Amino acid sequence: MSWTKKVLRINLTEGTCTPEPLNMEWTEQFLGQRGLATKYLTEEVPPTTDPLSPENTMYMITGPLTGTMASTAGRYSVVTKSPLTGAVACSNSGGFFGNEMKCAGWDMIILEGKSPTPVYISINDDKAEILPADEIWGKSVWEADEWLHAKHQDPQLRCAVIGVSGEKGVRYAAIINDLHRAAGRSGVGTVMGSKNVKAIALRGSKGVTVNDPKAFFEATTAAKKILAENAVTGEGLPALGTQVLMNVINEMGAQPTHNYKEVSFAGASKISGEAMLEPRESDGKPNLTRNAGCFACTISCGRISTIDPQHFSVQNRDDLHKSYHANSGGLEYEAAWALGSDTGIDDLDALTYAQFVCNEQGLDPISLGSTIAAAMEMFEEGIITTEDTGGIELNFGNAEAMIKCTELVAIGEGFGLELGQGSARFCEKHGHPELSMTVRGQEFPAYDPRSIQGMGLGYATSNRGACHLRGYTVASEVLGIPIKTDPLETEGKAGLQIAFQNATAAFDSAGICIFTSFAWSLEDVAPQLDAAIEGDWTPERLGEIGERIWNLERLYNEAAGVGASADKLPPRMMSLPANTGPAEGKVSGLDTMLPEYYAERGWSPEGDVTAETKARLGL
Amino acid sequence: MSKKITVKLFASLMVHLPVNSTKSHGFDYKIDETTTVGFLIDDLKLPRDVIHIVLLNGVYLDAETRDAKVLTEGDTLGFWPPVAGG
Repeated sequence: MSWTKKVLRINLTEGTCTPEPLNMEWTEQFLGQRGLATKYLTEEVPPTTDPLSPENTMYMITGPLTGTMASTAGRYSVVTKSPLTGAVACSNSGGFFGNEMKCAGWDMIILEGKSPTPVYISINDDKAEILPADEIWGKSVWEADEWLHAKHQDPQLRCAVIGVSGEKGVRYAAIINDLHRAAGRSGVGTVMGSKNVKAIALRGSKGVTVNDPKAFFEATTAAKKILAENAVTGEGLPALGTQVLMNVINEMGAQPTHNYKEVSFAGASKISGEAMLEPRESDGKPNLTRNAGCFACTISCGRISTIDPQHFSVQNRDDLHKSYHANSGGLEYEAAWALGSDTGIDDLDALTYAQFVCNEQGLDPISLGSTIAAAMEMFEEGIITTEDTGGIELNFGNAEAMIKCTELVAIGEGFGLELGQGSARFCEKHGHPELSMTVRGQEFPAYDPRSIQGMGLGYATSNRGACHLRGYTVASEVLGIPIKTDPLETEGKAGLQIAFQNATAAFDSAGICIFTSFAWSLEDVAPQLDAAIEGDWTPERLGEIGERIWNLERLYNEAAGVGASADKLPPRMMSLPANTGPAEGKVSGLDTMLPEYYAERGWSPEGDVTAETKARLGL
Repeated sequence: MSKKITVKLFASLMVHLPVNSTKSHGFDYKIDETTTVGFLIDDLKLPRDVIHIVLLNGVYLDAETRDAKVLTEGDTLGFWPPVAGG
């Protein structure tokens, strides 16, 4: 079967690496990856634990399909208690790290305690070592990755690394693997940094076996055919990537602009996926070089781009890593809106540069851009001045200022370290918490809740704080997948969100990418799992597992003090109507949707998981 | 004076843009009192099998009823193939 049934537990305080069996009983209830690691977290890390203390634990975990020939099966997740939100954190990444972990013979790597000095973890199949990282502590992800490859003399080495931001305590630091794939949200890189761990560098040569190879080949081939023939996964995503959404969301009046004051951005088309294809004046090349795929992916939505060599961000900058003058990953839609429309910046190359900085130093561009946007609003309102910003004229639309802030957050210095605490803490510190566009302390993604009502409910109830990847009802409300619903309606959105949230939790626990769900349902996932691992895996069982995972996360958050009391949107969403477009005059209908949501979840009217629901789900 | 609307084509549908269109994907299109979305699609020879999202002033037009929708002065009509992201 495609589980190795082995866990590598690394105690950084003691300096030990100890193999232990995977809890197979829990895989029956929580599948793998997101669900399974959350179960470990809830059993091992008390909900009141300080996220940046040695008592917090970090789980890097694969799913049952990770490392197999199923499409997109290179995924792994990082689960821990978040230093940004205080809630459960689960960040999912692609690239080639997860499959390598599985091929080395490990389903999960657990980091517990805290090393007294900077270290990295070296894993070569069964051999695991904790090694000194003094030479790469203080270096960027890209520099550390090069050093690790040179030291181990292995071009196939796969590295997951934190940047300087993660070392310095920036609360939305990411873990970057394969140079530009990120376990991006909720500050999982910050937790890794707090443990004095710079990198995990691993190499696996064992391969992955499946339970029934013939059935698995048939199931995965049939599922790949669905992806290939689907217009979104077979054509749309490879051609323009996530950035194709920029114009769609802007045209429908749901584009967050100027710290969510407005819902459309005049410069949207200049920073869109289509704009990335236009040849520039300086060298006749477009921003986009090509698309890219992660391990085993047959969609290949990733972007590989260059920055205009004559752009101010890179021109005459010999101090920059050479990749700024060549290629890196991006620009993705979530980075483009947060660093672009939310800050009022329509300079495509400035945004690409900022995304490259996020890659190099391990930052979540959503939290970064949103925090800068909040600071810009406070600067324009006179709440903060150049005395606070270290001399930066932080007006909306100022690309130089956005870049300066990004560079400072990346190395956790001065005003950058203050911005690095996230929008909620920044706005609170300056006396205006209402200007922070966050839920549970995590910054909003790219869809205005006044214009796409279901997403507002999704942000408010998301277990990891505001997020689009926990219940992406944009698929239905905007794109018509699987069926079109009215984005301005609140009726029926509770049930829609719950369906998306439960299914997503199952996808996230299987070892595959959530983007397959544009074409696949759980009906398509179940046969692949059924052939890969022991047991009977049906779509119904996966749906129930998704619901169980959601409730488990919720119970942990309740005990951590960020349960029902945190199910709310910023006052701007509830009282400042959308200023233009189809949603003009509308605010979020959260007050209508939330009671329905609680009822349909089987929770109390106050939003607590009831004893009956716990019993039904075996929690 | 003739009435006109703005037509916008995005993503793979951009190959159907007239040569004089702007960077913001749009171009003017003349209409009269009876011009419908369906007429416009056929007049511009837009590929019906590729069109997926149609927004009239930002509001989604569903596939079953959009052909009969009558356009009015100043409308903005946008077309996309099947797209997604996140």
